[in-house]
Amino acid sequence: MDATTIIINAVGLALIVGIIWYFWLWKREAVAATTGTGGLQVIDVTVKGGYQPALITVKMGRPVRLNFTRREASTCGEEVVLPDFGKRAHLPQNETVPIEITPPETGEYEFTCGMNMYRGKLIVEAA
Amino acid sequence: MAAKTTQLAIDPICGMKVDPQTAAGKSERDGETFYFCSLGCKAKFDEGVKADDSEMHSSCCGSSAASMTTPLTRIAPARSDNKESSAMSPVQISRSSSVDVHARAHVTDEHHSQSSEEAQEKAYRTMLYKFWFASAVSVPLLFIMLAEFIPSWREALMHYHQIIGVVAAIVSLPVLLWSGWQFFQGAWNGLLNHNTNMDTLVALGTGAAWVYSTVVVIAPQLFPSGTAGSYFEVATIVIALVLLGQALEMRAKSRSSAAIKKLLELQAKTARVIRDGKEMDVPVEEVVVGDRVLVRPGEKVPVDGVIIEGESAIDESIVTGESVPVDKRAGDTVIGSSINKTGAFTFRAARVGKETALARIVEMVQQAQSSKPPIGRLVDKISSYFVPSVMIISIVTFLAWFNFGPTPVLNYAVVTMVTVLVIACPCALGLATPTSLMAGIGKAAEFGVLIRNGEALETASRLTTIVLDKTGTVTKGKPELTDVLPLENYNEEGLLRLAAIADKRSEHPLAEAIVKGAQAREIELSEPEKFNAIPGHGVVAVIEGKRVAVGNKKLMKRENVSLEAFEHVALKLADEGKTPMFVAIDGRAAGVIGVADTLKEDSIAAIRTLQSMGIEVVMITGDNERTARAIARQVGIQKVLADVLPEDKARKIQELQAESSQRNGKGIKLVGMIGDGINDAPALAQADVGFAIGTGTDVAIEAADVTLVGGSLRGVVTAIEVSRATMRNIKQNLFGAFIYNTFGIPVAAGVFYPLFQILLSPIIAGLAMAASSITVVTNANRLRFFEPQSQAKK
Repeated sequence: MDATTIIINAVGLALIVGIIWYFWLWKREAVAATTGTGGLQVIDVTVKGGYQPALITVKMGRPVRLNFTRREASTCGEEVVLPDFGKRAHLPQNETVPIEITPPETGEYEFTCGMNMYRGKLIVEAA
Repeated sequence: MAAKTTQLAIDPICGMKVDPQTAAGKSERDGETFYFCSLGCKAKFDEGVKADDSEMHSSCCGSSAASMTTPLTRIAPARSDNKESSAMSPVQISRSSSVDVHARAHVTDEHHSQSSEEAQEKAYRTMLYKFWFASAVSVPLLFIMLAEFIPSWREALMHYHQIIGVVAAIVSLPVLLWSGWQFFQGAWNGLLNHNTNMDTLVALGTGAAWVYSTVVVIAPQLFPSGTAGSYFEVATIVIALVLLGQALEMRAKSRSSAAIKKLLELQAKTARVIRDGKEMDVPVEEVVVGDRVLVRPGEKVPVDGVIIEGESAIDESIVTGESVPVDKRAGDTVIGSSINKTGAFTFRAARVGKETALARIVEMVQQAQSSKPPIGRLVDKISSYFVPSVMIISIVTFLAWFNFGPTPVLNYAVVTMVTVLVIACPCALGLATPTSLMAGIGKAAEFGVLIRNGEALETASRLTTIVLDKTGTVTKGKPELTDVLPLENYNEEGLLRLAAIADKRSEHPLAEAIVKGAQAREIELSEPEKFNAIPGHGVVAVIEGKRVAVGNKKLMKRENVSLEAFEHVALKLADEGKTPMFVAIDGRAAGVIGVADTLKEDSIAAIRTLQSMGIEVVMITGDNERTARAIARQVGIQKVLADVLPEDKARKIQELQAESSQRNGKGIKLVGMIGDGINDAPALAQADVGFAIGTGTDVAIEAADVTLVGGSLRGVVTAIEVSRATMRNIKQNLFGAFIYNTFGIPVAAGVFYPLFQILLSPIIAGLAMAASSITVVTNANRLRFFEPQSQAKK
């Protein structure tokens, strides 16, 4: 085997490992929503290639406002869907769209873009 | 019919429409009188401020404390508008309510404004331009590629290879960077977020193709002569095709929601209201709760309300799906957007704007469309693993060909890698469920069947058993007196009189039937001295010192009245499908009164259809067994649960659910329950799918999984038909997407090459990828043409 072959194979394997680590094993940190007046929990979520933050913790039984702002032109993120709450919103670019929900129970609730390419999770904890 | 328009003045400062009679202020200038919405505007006018466009629709009218009108905003968030309005007088409210009714009714998209629709149009057009550009560039490139197969051309090509290559590289670059920019940007944004998406694959595939080809052109010495290929056309064609697929997708999505929007457009535009004794035409947005509204023949009812005077027949098909006009009189409710037929009437507006039945239905449908059936969640999980897996497979493919493939290794390795990247299309998987769901739920809504969410739809498609409440669902719920059969020493009139007085205060339909029957015979009914209603049993009253009990067997047992004397008579009645009401006076049997309900016409047909669909139909009722069985026989139901107390209904459902079903070998019975939503709430909640049958606007939309706005059992058949069709459609889509990727990727990777010499050209791969998206969306659209048999026009 000559050097080129070795190098190319090594690069290839490295890429594979990198993909697994970067996209699958990467642990996200959960961000807690800030509680404002009247118990309203607010959190800003930027939509750009994904949701930032993608893991959000909130308390159950109290209203939550998620402020989605889409900062990209890709149509993928132009709709955000919270299927467990039956909410769907259109996000025009660079506009902040608030979505208000009140999670009645603890648990994990996903929210995704219209095509399921981006995902985020709402982790509802006991009050 | 000429419409009389009101003479509304225009406030010269802010542009609002003002009723001269109630204007906050007025001023004269040059012999002309101007009216103002507020003292603020009047003040501005008096100071000599000229009206100019920037003042239009500004919040000038809120500036003066004395004016009390709310600021005008072009598109106001619907909710806050309603709250502020309620404290003000009608005329002021109508002035401040000039909000586009379409925007108001679009509740879930809280920021959905007209500008976003325009933006969508623009995005669609831009995408088309990009597609055409990419295609334009692809044609000559494709031409060149194909030309290589023509021997006579080949010579010339070889000679100019270098130059052609450079030109191709330069010309295809804008295609990647302009037409294809969204893919690269999307891939990059995703990358930063540790996310992959469809853009990642397209960007990698086309990018790799272009980079490789450019390297070949610039440094041909790296490759054994004549072996390196150029794949610029691959990059441009793939981009063109993906753009095409996305454009088509956009169009399909907008068409699906167009059907719902059309519903809103069917609203009446103006209403004829009576204010201060005067009739005037106002835009429907300005109608407020409490307004008296006139509707003439052929006109559309503008908002929801209750008729005050007049009567007519109204076509409510827009909401209930039933095209037979319904007779309405004073005291009946009318629905906004229904069509008045031949009569004229006045009604009092009860619900306007976003609160109307139509608007709420639209909202509900939109919410349902965004929900996800359990099968959809499975797809989600797979999607997130998909793209990185494809990336890994492409690398493995590259290495395999590089290490073990025939020469020229680099060529084959790159081509197969690019093909794998290109042929994978996760969006087909992600699209499969939502698009079908949207179409299915929208379709059902057309027939007045409102399915709450995807889960309800999926469960409905798998129901094995349906439970019907007898009164109100199988029967009309309006029982009538049929027989009065006294025993011993009582006569008909006397018996009926006492029974009717005892039942006077009861709200039970059976009691009402007796009272009505007595009134029809012009029997005078005084008040009972004492009265006690016992649910599930009957009533006990004291009348003229006598203890009168009217009710079923259970009541008689409770009152310790022997049933012997009743038996014979009661049985006869029951066999005729009538409900016997036993009357006991002072502890002794006095007589039996027969009450019967008429069957709903389409119930029989609906029940037959359900049974032919393989669903077991069960009747549940609080009525006695014998009568129930008689009715069941008349409609073709085998299984009857009779004598069920209201509080036990839910438990009965549970019992049914626990029974295992031998049919289809399925282990679990899925039970649907149909009821009128109010009394049956616990049973509806217990059932796997609760169907609420409503009539007109009195619908318990919140509680039930499926709401049948029309009062007919046919709606249930439709609901199940549509659910099944939708699930079929979803499965078709999923199958199509899966099978396509399952076969496509290995073939692209060259798995079949060693055996069959089959290799996929990247271009074919791109074509197939776009085709898969198009197929899924088109298949989902097929649902829009689905005609449930139950609603077939004969």
